[in-house]
Amino acid sequence: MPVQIRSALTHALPAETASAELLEQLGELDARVVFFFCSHYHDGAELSRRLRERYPQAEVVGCTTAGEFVQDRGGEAGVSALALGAGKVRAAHVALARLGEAPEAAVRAAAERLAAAAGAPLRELDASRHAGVLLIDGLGMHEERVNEELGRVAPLLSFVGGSAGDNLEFRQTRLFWNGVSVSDAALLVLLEMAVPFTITKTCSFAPTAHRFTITRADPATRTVYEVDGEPVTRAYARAVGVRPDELDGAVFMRHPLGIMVDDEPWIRSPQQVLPDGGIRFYCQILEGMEVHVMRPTDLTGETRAAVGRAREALGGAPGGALLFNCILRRLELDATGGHPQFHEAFRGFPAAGFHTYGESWLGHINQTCTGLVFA
Amino acid sequence: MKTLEEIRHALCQHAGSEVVFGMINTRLVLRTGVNLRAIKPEADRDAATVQKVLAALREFGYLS
Repeated sequence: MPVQIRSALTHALPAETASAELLEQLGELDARVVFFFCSHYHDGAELSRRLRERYPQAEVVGCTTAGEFVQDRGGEAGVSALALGAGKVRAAHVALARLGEAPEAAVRAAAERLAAAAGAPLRELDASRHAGVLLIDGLGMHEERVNEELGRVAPLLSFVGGSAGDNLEFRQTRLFWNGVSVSDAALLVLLEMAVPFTITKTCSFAPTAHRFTITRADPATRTVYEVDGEPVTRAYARAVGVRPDELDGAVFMRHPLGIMVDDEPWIRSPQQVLPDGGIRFYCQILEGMEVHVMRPTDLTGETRAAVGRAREALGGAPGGALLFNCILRRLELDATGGHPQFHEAFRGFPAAGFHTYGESWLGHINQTCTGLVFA
Repeated sequence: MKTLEEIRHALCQHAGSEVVFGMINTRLVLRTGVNLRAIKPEADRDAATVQKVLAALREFGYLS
């Protein structure tokens, strides 16, 4: 059987040179879908056009990033790519949702287009054979609404993905599909898999004894004001052992909040203390939710363990993976020099991914490495 | 249905498997904060909470 999967990584610029290097690494392949993740310095539309020219049977989808990686290396200001042949993905369908003021309606319409292409409503598709990938604008703050709508139209399908980045410039993120470049949008990719697959989600946190109930919050701005009836800065600072005026990015990165579901944390990362006393998060937290203050564990060890669980679920070594790793995890790896150990977790199979402004699976999440792992 | 426990029981039957139940329950927790696998005694019969959970599950297409 011809090669069914290859990954590629380049740091070349401009798009013409980068695409040539990617194509050389991807080589001969009857690709059904090509995912690529590029820096905001690259002309992603041009990259996708050139990849599509080379693989005309493939849907070519991608987005801008806060760093790119493949199984054994990574960096910033580059392009990573993963090409999947018919032996991995029987069919791939893509729909663009221009989110604007009505993200739910846009997702519903996109889901209908996917359903028409797949020949059945998404909620009726066999979830053991179909997986979804969601790439979404990383600055529009629409992730929760988009994930909730996906829960309505396809409650049993796993849409896994990431929010596009611009390497911490926070100016504009973009998505790309077969030569088209869009912002304020989401790309929904429906994959009919030819091989078994599983979803991996790992973070490097464990709950502490400190837990709160959110008593005042503004979900629209992802801000929490009070927990257990007390100003959030005071209660949170006390729990992590600092003064309220010492709360900063370093504290936040080590002590996010986690919603525990079946002993599994779903992380909400604090972003900043606001002048009005609230703490803004990278993810919504609703009033009434119970959250735990988390403590850091071993990022690379947890990542290895997650790949081990995926291996178990697949009944053997993975054949490939598409990965979405939070920018905050990248910053931790930058600070600790842990990138080689992070890549080591994916040794032995082709993988590609990017450092995100948020991950998606069943909802919007932070500070995870989440992805689609397949045989 | 007037309690979260009744909803949990109905959803278990409707879902048909632990995996499906787990997926729906996770979506429910992220959306409402209510975990049907760890129902708090004070929430079990709280009418507002029960209605919130029922509304979310109906939107998912579970429980009519």
